Amino acid sequence: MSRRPQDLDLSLDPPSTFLFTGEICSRSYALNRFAFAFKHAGHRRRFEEAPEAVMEAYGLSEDEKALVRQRDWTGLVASGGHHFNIIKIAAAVGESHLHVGAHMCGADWDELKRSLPHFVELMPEDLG
Amino acid sequence: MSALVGGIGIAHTPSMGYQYDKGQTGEWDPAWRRWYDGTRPVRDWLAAKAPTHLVVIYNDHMNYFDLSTYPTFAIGMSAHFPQADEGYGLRPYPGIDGDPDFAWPVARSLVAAGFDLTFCQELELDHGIYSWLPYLFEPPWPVRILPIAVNMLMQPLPTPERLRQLGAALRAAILSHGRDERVVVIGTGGMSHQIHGTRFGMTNERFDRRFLDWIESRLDDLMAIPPETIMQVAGSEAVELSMWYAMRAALADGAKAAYRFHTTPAVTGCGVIALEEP
Repeated sequence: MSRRPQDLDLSLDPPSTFLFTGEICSRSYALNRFAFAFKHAGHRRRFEEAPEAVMEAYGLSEDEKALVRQRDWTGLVASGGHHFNIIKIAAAVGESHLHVGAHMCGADWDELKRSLPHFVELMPEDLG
Repeated sequence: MSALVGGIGIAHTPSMGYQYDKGQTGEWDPAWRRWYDGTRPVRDWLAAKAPTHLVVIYNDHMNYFDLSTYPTFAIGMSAHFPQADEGYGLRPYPGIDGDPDFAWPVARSLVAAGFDLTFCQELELDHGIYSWLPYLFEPPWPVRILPIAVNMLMQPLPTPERLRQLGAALRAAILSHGRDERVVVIGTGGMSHQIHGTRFGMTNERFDRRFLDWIESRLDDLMAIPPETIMQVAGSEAVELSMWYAMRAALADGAKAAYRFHTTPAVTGCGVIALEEP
C-alpha cells in the first residue's frame, strides 16, 4: 500500500505522532517508570499476580490505571507514556508491537499487517 | 597513534536481530534474506580492514537507560558489554568486550573538546547494536567496542551540528591516541520509520536512498534539512539518522563510499554504507 503525499498527516501532532518531550516526561514520570519496569521479570510476575497493587505502588492516577486495565495503548501514549515503554506492558500481556500499532491506527491487526509497509515518496522539497 | 580505517552507517531495528536468529535455524524470511545478502559485502570489507576497535554512536530504546537519569551523551567505559534484555529474553550471543585502557584516553580527549559525557560502568547494549552486529561479525566477536549512547527519545535532542562536532572530536581523539589500534567508526539509526501513532508503519525508500547518496560527499546539504522535516517525510523515528552525521564527520572530507545497499524488509528502511578514508 502506498500513500500519496496528500494523505499523509505532516503535522507531527497527535494522533499521527506523539513526540515525547521533557515536559511530558515530567508530567507522566510515574506512568513511564511503571511501564519501563516491565523489562524485569519480577515486575511482570507481580503485575500478573496483583495488577491493582502494583499500579497503586507506582502512583498511577485513576485515569492511567483505567487505561492499563482497558489495554488502551493509544490512550497510554496520548497520556504521556513513551511508546517504547508502553510496548513493554503490551508484551507482558501477550500483545506485540504490531498489535499496539493496529490500536494506534484504529485498524484490524491482520489488515494492518498485510498493508505494511506504507510507502511514502514525499521529499523535503515537497513541503510547502 | 591509532588509525581510522573506515566508517559505516547502518540501520537498526529489533526485527533485524530476530530475523537473523530465525535465518540461522534455516528459516530466512525472503525479505530479510535480501538484507543479509546485501550486508555480506560489508562483512567482507570489514574483515579486510581488520579493525581492533569499533566506536559506535547509537541510541538506547528504554532498554538500559530509564527516564530517571537520561543522558544526552553517555559513553560505555567497561571491559564487557552484555546484551540488554528488552523484555523478550536474551538472544543467543555472548556480550562484547570493551577496552577501558583504550576508552579513557578517547573520553579525555572528547571532554577536552567540550563533550561533557556521562561515564557508564554497567552499560548493557540493546538492538541499537546487537541487531546488526551478527550481520557484520561472527562470535566470538573479533573486535572490542566503545559505545556512545545519544538521546534520541526525549525532546530536546542534541542538534545535527552537535553530532557533527562529536564526530570531528572523535576523529581527533582516535588519531591522537597513544595506542596503535585500527578503528572503525559506526553511526547507527533509522533509516525511515515510524512505529507509533496513526503513521505507524510508514517508510520512505526514496528519502533513504538520497540519504545514502548524500552522506558520502554532501553532508552539509543533508544537515541543512531540519530534523522536523526528516520526521515529517521519513517518520518520527527517522530522526535517529542524525547519528550518521557523527560517523561521517569522524572521517576525512574526501572519504569515498566503498559500498551502499538499501532494502525495506518490514517497516523500517534498512540501509548501509561503508566509507573508505582517502
